[in-house]
Amino acid sequence: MTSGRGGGAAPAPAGVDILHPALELDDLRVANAEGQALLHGVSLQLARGEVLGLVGESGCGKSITGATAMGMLPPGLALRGGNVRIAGESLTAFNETAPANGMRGRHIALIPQDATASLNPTRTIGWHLVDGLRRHRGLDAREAGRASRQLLSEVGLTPPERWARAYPHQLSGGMNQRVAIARALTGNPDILIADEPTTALDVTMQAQVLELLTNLVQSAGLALLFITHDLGVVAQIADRVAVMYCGRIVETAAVAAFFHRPRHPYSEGLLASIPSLDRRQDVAPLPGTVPSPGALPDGCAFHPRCSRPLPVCLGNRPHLNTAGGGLVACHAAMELASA
Amino acid sequence: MTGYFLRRTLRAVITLWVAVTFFFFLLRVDVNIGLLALNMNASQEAIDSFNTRWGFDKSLLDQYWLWITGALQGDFGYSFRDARPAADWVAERLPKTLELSLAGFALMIVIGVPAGLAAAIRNGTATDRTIMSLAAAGYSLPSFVLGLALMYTFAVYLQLLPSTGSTSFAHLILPAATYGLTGSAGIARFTRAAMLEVLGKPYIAAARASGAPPAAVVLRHAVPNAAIPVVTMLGFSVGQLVGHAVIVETVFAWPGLGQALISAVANRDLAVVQVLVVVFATFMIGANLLVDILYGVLDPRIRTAGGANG
Repeated sequence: MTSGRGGGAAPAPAGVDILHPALELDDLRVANAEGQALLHGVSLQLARGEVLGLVGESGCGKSITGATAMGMLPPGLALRGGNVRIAGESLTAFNETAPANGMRGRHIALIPQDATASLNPTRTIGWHLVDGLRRHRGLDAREAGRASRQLLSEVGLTPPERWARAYPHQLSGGMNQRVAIARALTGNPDILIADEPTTALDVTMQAQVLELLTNLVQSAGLALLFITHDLGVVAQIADRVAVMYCGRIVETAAVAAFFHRPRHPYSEGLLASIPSLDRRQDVAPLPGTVPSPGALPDGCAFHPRCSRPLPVCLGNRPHLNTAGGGLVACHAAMELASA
Repeated sequence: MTGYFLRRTLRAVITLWVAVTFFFFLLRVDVNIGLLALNMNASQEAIDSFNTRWGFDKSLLDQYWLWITGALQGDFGYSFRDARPAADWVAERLPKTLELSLAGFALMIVIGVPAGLAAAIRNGTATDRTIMSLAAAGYSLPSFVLGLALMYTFAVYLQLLPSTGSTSFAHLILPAATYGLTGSAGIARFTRAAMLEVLGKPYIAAARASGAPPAAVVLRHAVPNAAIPVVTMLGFSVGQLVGHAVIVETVFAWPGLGQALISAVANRDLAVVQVLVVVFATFMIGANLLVDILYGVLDPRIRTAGGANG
């Protein structure tokens, strides 16, 4: 059994050390400059060898959760409470100017959404890798050059000598995403935060990048927080799923259980909005839109869009409770479970 | 890269030719040079003999042919005033203008670029506001006003520096300061804007995410990118040296090309005006060519355009 709220009793995949989470997000609270809360106490745990898919619509707070874990909140946003622990070490005090006590890049690394824009246009691919290798591994120029070529081979850019000399604008988006992954690996991190890393790629590139990430997680025992709005990608890569809505986790579950039987009506709605080939049923998009942080409804934030709201949902916000091996924050789901 | 360099050089040479040709005709079309050069009360015979002597009775195309073939061999005609080769004016005064311009330009970079960088890095703070207020003041102050103010303060009131002339290093300080301070205001504003734009780019956030410390983010990631527009701007300032030279050289009685241009125009000394136009156009076009070449060096997207990779 895992401790804490982000766990869940789902059987862990082989090699996953669920007793010693690599990354613990504990009750994260983030507000913008107007004082509106964007994260209302987000807790997640992530172990080495595990892929956690963090899903939700745009504006639900999943990217902010990733940025908080990196200690890189955008300007104007501030951490108002909670704790980030990396390998058991607490990082409450870090912010934009303090580079996360040397954690960033070395223990926790980011794979960005737009890899091409994340690379410096005036520098070669090789420069980016050598830069990280020298900083994080303390290598000299020659050793770093050799290690950078090895990383390029690892992410499938061969022959590495050729790509090391190239500039980001000479590579395709998919190739640059491989470069961004190689760059994230320069510090031998335990944790990778991937924020929509495949959204900008076509499907074949997307499949290749997902395969590369899966191999890395398995071979190097990395913990991967995979932020996406694409449930198809989650089904492919994740071991567990966490669903966010309006700055809160509303459901966590093992991936098989989630797709087989989602507990939260929001999860149901997300699944029902995916077109399917084998179930010849109509796509049912979720009605309405995500409310803005300044105009959250009372009670359960999802009740205006919910398919089966109860009277209690209008005034009482549900808390996360265990349900079927996962956690869910829904009055209706709890009633169903206890019935 | 070689092809890029050759194309730009060829274009610069053509631009120079078009510019000097245009000015050649502009200075001569529908103008009786003899009447302008001599006294208004000169007799018709005097004017005619003047025009014959200097070749202004020939057709414009003949004159142009003689001038351009001469110019290509270094013969730019003779001054009406002292009958010396016009090119001698340039030879005498160019070193003085270069001395002043280079000193002013160096000062402009040394003050303007670090001020702009500091303002961008400390964006929104008191440092930023102080630097930008000074820059706004410097930008809106005409260089002749600043020059006179400096002259009054340091030469007349404090009596630390000479007010006019060019015979010692002390003479260089005030005109170079006038030049450099006026120019640095614009450079500071431009550097700040370029730096702020680059600092907002995703690759800067990505560099931070990869663990680069703040100094490395600025120096190794932001500055090489911000340098591209700043170098362009500096190149254009080289081109504007001329306009500044005319003003600053006049205020401080600095015997350079700017001053020569003013006196040549006042004296209707055609060959001298013409050769100065060639020199100033060469400055301007050469500066632009230099910017183009530096662009290629600084920006791999231009250098590698049409390259074999990827």
